Parts: sequence; structure tokens; C-alpha cells
Amino acid sequence: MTVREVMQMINAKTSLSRIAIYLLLIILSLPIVFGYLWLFSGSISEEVEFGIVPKSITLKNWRFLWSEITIGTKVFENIWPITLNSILLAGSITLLEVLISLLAGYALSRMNFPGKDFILKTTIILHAFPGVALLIALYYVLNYIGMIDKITGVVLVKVALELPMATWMIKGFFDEIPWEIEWAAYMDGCSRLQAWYKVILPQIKPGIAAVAIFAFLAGWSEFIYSYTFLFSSENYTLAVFLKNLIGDFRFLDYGLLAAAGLFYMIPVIAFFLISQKSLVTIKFGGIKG
Amino acid sequence: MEVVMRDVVKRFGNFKAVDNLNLTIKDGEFMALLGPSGCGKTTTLLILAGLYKPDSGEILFDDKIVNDVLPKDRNIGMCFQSYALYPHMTVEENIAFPLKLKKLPKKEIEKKVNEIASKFHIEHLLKRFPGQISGGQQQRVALARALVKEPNLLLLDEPLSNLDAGLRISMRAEIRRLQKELGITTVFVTHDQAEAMSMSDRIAVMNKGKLQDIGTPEDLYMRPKNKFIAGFIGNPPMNFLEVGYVLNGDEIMLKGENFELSLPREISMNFMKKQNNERVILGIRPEHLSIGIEAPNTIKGEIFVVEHLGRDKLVDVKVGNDRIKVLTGQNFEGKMGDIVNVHLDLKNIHLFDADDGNSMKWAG
Repeated sequence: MTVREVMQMINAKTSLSRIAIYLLLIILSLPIVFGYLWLFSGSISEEVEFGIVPKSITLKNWRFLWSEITIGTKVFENIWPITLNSILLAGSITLLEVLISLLAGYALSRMNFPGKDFILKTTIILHAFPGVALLIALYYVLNYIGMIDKITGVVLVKVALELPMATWMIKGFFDEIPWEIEWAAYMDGCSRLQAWYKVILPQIKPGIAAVAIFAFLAGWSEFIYSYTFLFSSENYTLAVFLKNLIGDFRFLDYGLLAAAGLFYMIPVIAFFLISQKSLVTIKFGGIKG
Repeated sequence: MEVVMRDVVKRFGNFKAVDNLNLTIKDGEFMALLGPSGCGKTTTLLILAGLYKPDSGEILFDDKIVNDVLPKDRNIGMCFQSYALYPHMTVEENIAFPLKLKKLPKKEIEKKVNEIASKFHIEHLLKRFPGQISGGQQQRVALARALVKEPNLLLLDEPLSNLDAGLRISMRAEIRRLQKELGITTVFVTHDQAEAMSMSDRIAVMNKGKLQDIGTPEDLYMRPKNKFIAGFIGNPPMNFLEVGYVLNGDEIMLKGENFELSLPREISMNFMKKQNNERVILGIRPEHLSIGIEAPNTIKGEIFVVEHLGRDKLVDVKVGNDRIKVLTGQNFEGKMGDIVNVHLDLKNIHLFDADDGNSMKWAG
């Protein structure tokens, strides 16, 4: 056997194993791809064949965007105020979470105070806690402070539960900024707050973007708290609306459901397309001595 | 501005980084803090900057205690080892930053930035970002930023250590000249004794958090107060040989493993007396040694290696278990393995206590 033949055999071997890997990955991701294809085909056609092939294209399923919809005897709310509610919810969660985690992350990264280690450890435990387990207790609390059936109430709950993770994430970014840069800012005449927002924050923009994206997505897809704590239809969010569409199985309109589901996903997809780069830069910093 | 540090102590946990430091820096003086890494010199600088708070002691600027004055209110310019330029700002914005914080009018900021930029020859870089310029240029920008607000005190933390050798030597002279021109009190931290010697008016030598001595470069070189300073200042460093001490009337005999030196009266009277047979350390610089013919008061040894320094040759001579360095002229012909006689210039020897390392020379 010549050297060349050996090389060819090795090449054949590696490309063969590569094909096998790709095949496996394709098979594994098929169910997900299939699900999205169904959603898309279903939303633009009267009927689908073989699960994913659209037949007789129509915009009828998207009628919820411009007209009132009724399924059976139930009349559904206009989608636009509900969309606005969802934007408001996700937006407020993002704003609060970013602001608080930026302050808390800075303190945990840069300052020494008693109980710092304890806080760092317990925040992680808090995040591991299943939110559903708190549902009833949270209901009592919100009811007591008059925040039940208010979007603000859901915002507060969601921010409180998401904050530990966001703070840890942003702390890692602060840890990466050398002390000398912060010191230089003080020598140049900055107060601590000025150094924070004029010199340090501009350098952790990717981190801020990442936290903001996670917070927005978490707020946008938030379901269980909205469903439990909001009962007036004017406070509904898209996730609750979608759940209500499925509500009555006798009159289920799959085309409508697919279109509404796709509508719900649009901001998420857009967000991912815009923010891919920032998401890739996320890493979690350890505790520096 | 005159700067005084009085009994300053700084601890990190159980570790005393700065141990009871007393230091006076005169108005307009260029003072170097010199010592090996971990000796507390950078900590001292950060205390002056107000970035670290001393655990005890006082810092005075022109007779006013400034222990509790925030860094931003001290009007200090500082240049860090890593330059610490703000990566998200252009060179121009970096230099203008301290002035903007002072809320100076835009016109004035522009004028001052341009003035200092031309002084440091960085006018053509103003629109670039720190990541787009070379290390030497970054260092100029950092100096410009530190000086643009006309500070009362300039602190430099190893500003030259990240530059290549040629640039370092030219920057030494430039910083020195600028400091004299502006007459600004400057504290300069370095571990490089050549840098400290060539730039400063006075040098404060530190080791293990303690101030060892303070003096002009010449003072420290000619009359080192202890073995640490003697070994740290000067390049190539001073040779040390442990010897036995025998007092014989007015003469001192120094007994090594395979040599004996007798110090005549006019030399021995410069040193404090010791008990007979005590161990002392003989120190002598390579330039005060020479290689010659066999004679009394010479040390016999074997050439270990010959290093070419360009202008001179540095000869490593093995004496018993010790090795001493001898600086010889370019025309020295000795080779590895040759047996040679090393002559000592007795006027320039130093003796140190073997226990505490203090110089046995009478002060003054």
C-alpha cells in the first residue's frame, strides 16, 4: 500500500464518520424542525397534507389581526391590546432586571461587605427553586399588597425570580474589567457612580445586551404567573390568549392557533437574529479572590 | 506640593504590606520608590492616590491631612502600568475626560487637549481608539491624560516596564525633562534600579513593606546602609563573600576559605569593631575588582565564564564555593578554567553584619 492510498483511506474514513455524525444530528433535530414547519404551513393554509405540506393558501387564519374572532359561542378579545400588555410586561421586566442586576452585580464584583459570600451562594439556590412551588404563597402575598390581577404584580414576581441569574451573569462581566481602569476613572475625577456609568458600563455592553435579551425573552414567554395572577381580560398577555384559544377542544381551529402561535414567536425570532453576537459572548465568571 | 507620610501602616489580612512608613517628598521633587515585587511600593502609591486607605498613620499634602479626601478631590495625575486607557473612548476623549469632569468650557478643553497632545507628539492620533495605537503611543496618551488637568502630584506606577528597551531609555529622559519643566512633584514606582538611578532626585528603597533607606542615587550607591540596598542597587550587582573577622591591633584580618585579607588602619578605622572570630560579610562591586599578578591581599580563583558586555568584559571567578564578578577591560585575555588573582580596591570595600545585614561603616 502506498502512502497515498493510506491517506485516501484515512480521508474516506473521516468523511464517512462525518456523514454519520451529520445524519445523527439531522435525525435528532427533525422533530423540532417538523414542529415549526407545521406551525408555518398551518398558519397560511386551509389544510395541511402529510403534516407539513400546505394546501390552498389563505390568509384567513391571520384574521385575528384585523377582526374580532369567535370560536363556537366564545368571542375573543382584540389581539392588539393583549400584544401591548405582553410588550409592557416583557419591557418592564427587562428594564427592572437590567437596572437592578447592573447595580447588584457591580457591588458583588467590586465591594467587600459582610455576607457577600452568603449572598452569592444563596442567589444560586434561589434560582434552582421551582417557581411553580411558590405559586400559592405568591398569590397570598400579591393579594395582601393589592397587586393581584395587575401586570405590575407579575412583573415584580418575575423580576424577583430572574434577578439572581441576571446578577451572576453581569457580575462575571464586571469581574473582567481591570481595577486599574476603574482607578484611573477615580483619579480623573469620577465619583463611584460616575465611574460606574461613564467608564465601566460602556465596556460591558455585550453583557448588558445579553441580560436584556434573556430578561425580555423570559418576560415574553412568561405564562404560569400571568395565567394565575391575571384574571381580567384587559390584563391578558399573549401567552394567556394562546392558552384560551385551545381552551375549548370541541371547536379547536388549528389554522388560527398556528397563526397566533407564529405571531407570538415573531419578536423572539427577531430578537435572536439581532442579538446572536452578544449571546455568544456570555460566560460566567467565577469568584475572584 | 509637599507630601508627607507619617507612620503609615497598611495590612491585607495578616500581611503587613506597608510597615510604619515615614516619607517626605519635597515640592517639585522626583522621588522613586524602588524595591523588588511585593515590597509594598505600589501599595504606597495607591495610598497616596487615595485608592487604598491606610490602617493607621497620616498622609499630608502641604500640611493638610488628606486621609479622608476622596481620590477625585486630591487633584492627582496617575499613570498606570497597564496605562488603563478607556477602550471605548478615542484618544481625544481619553485626554479630555478629566477636564470634562471638571466641567470646563468646551473651547478651553479643546485648547488644552491640543496643547498637551502636541507636547507629547500625539496630535495625529487624537481620533483613534486606544486599541489602534502602539504601546509606546498608549503610554504617551496615558501621561497626557494624567497631566492635562495640571495636577499637584504625579504618580507613575511602573510606566516604562511594558515598553521595549530602546523606547524605555528614550522615555526615561523625556519624563525626567518634562517633570523638571513642569516642576511637578512626582512619585515613581519601579523595580528597575537603573530606571530609579537615572531619573530620580532621591530614591526610597523598600523591602518587605519597610523603608530601607532614602537618599540620592549617588548616596545609595556609594554608602549603602545595609546588604539589601547594596545588592539591589548597581548593575552588575555587588559581590558578597562571607568571611571570618579577626582584630589584630588596629588592623582587621578577613579570613575566607582560601584567602586572607588584611585591612590597614586607614581602612579599618572606617568600620565599627566586632568580636574576634565573628562572621561578617565582605561586599565589593565588580568595578572595584581587577585581575592581576599574585600578591598579598589578593584572592585566588578559577575563571568560570567570561561575559562580553560590549564596552567591558564581565569575568565570573570561582572562589571556593562562591562566585564573584569582576569587571575588566575589553583587552582581557583570560579563558575559562584559568587560575587568576583578583585584586581588591580596598578603599571601596563594604562590611556588613552577618546577622542583621547592616553596614558596619560609621555613618557620616
